[in-house]
Amino acid sequence: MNRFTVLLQKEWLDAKRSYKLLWLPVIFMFLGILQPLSSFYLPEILKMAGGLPDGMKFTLPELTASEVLASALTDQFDQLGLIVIVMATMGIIASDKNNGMLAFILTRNTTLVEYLLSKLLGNAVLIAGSIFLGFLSAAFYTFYLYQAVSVARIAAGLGVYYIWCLFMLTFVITIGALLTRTPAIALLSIFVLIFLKTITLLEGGFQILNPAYLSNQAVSIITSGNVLPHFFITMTVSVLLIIFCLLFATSYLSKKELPSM
Amino acid sequence: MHLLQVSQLQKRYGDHEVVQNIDFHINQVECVALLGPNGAGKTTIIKMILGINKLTGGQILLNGKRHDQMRKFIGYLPQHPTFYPWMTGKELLTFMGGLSNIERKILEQRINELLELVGLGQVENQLIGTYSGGMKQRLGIAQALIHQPKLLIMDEPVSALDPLGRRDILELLKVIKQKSTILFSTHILHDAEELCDKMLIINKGQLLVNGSVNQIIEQTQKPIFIIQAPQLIDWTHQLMNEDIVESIELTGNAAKVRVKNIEQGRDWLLSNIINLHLPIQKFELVQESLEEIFLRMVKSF
Repeated sequence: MNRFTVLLQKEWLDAKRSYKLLWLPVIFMFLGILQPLSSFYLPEILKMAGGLPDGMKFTLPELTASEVLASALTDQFDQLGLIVIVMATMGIIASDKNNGMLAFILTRNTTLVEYLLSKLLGNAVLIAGSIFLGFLSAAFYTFYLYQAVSVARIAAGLGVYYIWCLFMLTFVITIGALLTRTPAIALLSIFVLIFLKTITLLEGGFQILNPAYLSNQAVSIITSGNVLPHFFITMTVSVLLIIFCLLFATSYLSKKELPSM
Repeated sequence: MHLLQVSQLQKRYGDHEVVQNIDFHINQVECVALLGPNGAGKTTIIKMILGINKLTGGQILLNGKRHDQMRKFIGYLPQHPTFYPWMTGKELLTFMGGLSNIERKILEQRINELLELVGLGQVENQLIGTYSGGMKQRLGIAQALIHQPKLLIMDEPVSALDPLGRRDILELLKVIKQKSTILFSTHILHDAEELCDKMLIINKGQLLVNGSVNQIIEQTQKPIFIIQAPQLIDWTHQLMNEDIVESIELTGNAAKVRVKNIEQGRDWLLSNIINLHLPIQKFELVQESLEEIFLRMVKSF
């Protein structure tokens, strides 16, 4: 049997036994539902909470269906969703490394590349499924409460957004290869990823090198059907960064004397 | 050609030499014990053979070949096998076997044979997290044997077990050693003596003796005088300063005295006893046991 398949099956079994296969999609579905519901019912929620003082005027912007849907990415997935992805993946390398299982696995015929790729692919599939289900729920409620949005735009936007997610995953894997303690891995990853996300607000030319800008691209695709300028450069840079992270993690781990049991 | 040939093996961490120029070899279907106190460098040697730790000097050849291709020929049981607690015993064997590229059909058959051999057939579908220490050790042995390795390496396979579990594993290893080549480390002489054809006694990163139990006894055995008398403490203190005395050990009212030259030593001891009117109950010349040899080597070093 192919060694890579064996490693992937192990990842799958791990996700199943640790219930990650259940809770990760459930959280994203919850986040997806939250956005259309809260946008739609906000006026009523405000009213129920006692309303506004007399004389105060407050106009809520009229949101279109595609704007509501796109804000599920920026307001939910990129905030709580990002933290959840980091939390779900912070231990995937560190735990194997620390308890000696990684060194032990490598006494078989496996290579570090196979090992890291199995981690990447296994978790990438899990994240893809979660984001798909989460966005499906968001789309369902948006269609129901507002109106339908072009499915082709949604698919294209989500596809672009997924590359940013892949970058998050690879980044966490690399930090996991470098550091030992999972809280440190989580904190550093969340800090850097949120930082990248926050500087997209500044716009400016250097955004074309920022993988987090793919999230803005996705929003633009969903709301207008068009990409922002320099889309392909950002895409290429992100993919190159993913490859670089993986190569870096591999070479770092292969030079290091791993803890063993 | 030897199955495993280790020459001038070295490991240094900064200024600290953990393993210093060790040479040894292992032949086919031989059982070799790596014996030494805790911290002697046994685990480091094993991890260098496995390629987990890198060598700072020397070389390791398996069947005359270099290090990189060796992994598939070696089965390894770590000192504290933790494995994945969320896997069942059978799943772990399937996983480890798969990593060694065993075909699925052959693998299933091997797994059943091995579970039978190590006596885990009843619990093959239970999670490893629920296994006892002895069961984990058996599972560890099964996974080490799954790809029918040429050499089975075990790091302290029985040290962490209770007397019953230890007996079980020793009996199991006796069966396995009939067909396999085994290298295992231990700090307990008795286990090495019971199981092995050959011993490598190691202390502070150096190889002190290398040979079969009989060879070691023949080559390194020294005579000891056992003198028994009440209140020997003062006398033993005086003796420590004498040139002719190599070492002295007092247990209860019996002193074990090693001397540099057996004839002179005997005359000197006897005349000393007579001069001091020591009320001795026993004066005996015996040969060291293997344990005494081991302790002497490890201590004097």
